[in-house]
Amino acid sequence: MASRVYQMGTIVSRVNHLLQTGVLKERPLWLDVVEAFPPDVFPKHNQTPEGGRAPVIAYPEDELKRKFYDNYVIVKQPEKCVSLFEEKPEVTSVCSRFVSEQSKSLSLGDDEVEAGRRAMWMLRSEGIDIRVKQVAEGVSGEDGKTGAPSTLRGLKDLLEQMHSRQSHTGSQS
Amino acid sequence: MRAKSLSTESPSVSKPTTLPSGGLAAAPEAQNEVTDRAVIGGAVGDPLNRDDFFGVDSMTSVRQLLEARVHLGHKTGTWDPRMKPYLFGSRAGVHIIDLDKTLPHLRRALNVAGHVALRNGIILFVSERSQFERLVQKSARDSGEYFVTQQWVGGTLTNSQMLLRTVRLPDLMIFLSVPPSKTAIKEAAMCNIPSIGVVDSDCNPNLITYPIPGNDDTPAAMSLYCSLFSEVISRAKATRESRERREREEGQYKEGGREQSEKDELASEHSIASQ
Repeated sequence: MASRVYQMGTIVSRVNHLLQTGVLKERPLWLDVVEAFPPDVFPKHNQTPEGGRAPVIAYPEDELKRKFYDNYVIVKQPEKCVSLFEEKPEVTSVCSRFVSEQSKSLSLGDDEVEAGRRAMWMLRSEGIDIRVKQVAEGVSGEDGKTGAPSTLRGLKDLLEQMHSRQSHTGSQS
Repeated sequence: MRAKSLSTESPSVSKPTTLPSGGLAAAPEAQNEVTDRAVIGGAVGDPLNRDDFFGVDSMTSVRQLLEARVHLGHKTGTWDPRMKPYLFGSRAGVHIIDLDKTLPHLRRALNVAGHVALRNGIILFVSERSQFERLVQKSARDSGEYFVTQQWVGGTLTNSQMLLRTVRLPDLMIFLSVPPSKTAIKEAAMCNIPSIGVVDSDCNPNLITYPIPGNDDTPAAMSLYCSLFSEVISRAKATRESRERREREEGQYKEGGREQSEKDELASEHSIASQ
């Protein structure tokens, strides 16, 4: 039964017409139900997409959280389980606590690094052990120039050093 | 031979022929007359006029959907752009389905399923995913309805005369996941059968009458859908049963009254005669 009739109209309109013309003798059971609870939009076989993408869900805390993990180390995780379903959970992750303290300081006018240190000491006083990540020599850390993330910047510096050493040895030989 | 993969669970249903147009043919009237009157034109009035006859609003909530991971879609790269109206957004490269849209869609679908079951309609659960075969079979059996959980045989509906011999077609199809069942969905549309389908962020919602935007991969979400549909259908059947019983009892009472008066007459005649 290869027909394209199903592409026209809606099932309700088609079945009503079939009843009207007498092809369908008895009213189907579901017809009253579907007419009583119609869908928002009856499906179309060739419905064109709306266009565009779904919006990216981003919060200002996301950037701060990324930087927290780049620049700080949690020496020992507190042994508590964080529920992801509570709206105002009793127990939050160390990162989100840090970021909420940091945001408070930021809104009072501190710069990011200072606010971060303040938050760190705040959490330390509560017994959560956080340290500033020790950066290797030649790799710029949190206090470096903004722009590229610190790890990439570090790589870049290392490569530059390697090249300069090579050119040095090259010129000597 | 392949047609045996279709499981028919209920006791035998009357089997009129299907029409060439694929619509339902007339069912014998006597079977349904009393029961339909009981269900549709009962003392309480037509259940369809009531807003939430089956208590679907109290059965579902956004929180419940969230806890069942219904909001979790697929990675953004695998999406179907036709799902954009149902998406809340993307987070960490994964699409999040808008539960504020899912909830009314789910409630509407549950109401439709309930009312179809109340009218003694045949509901067919379709899920070609082996992961959820047992779950779907159990839900269908618990609610006393039908299922297809193996591969859908093309022509089951459109060529039902050949594959299943003459049968009555389902009045509602519930697709627990849409992508594997493209043929089944198309056949349902061709045979003018309303369909309910759970559509994930990578699915095409086009031919589904009642799409339910939601996760179709997590067992928690799937068992939520199955239990909700099974519950509503069972409630509908219980309502139907109690109404039919009431109608029968009313009928018997009237008859019983007549019988009793006849017996009294006979007894009085007998007593007179014996004197």
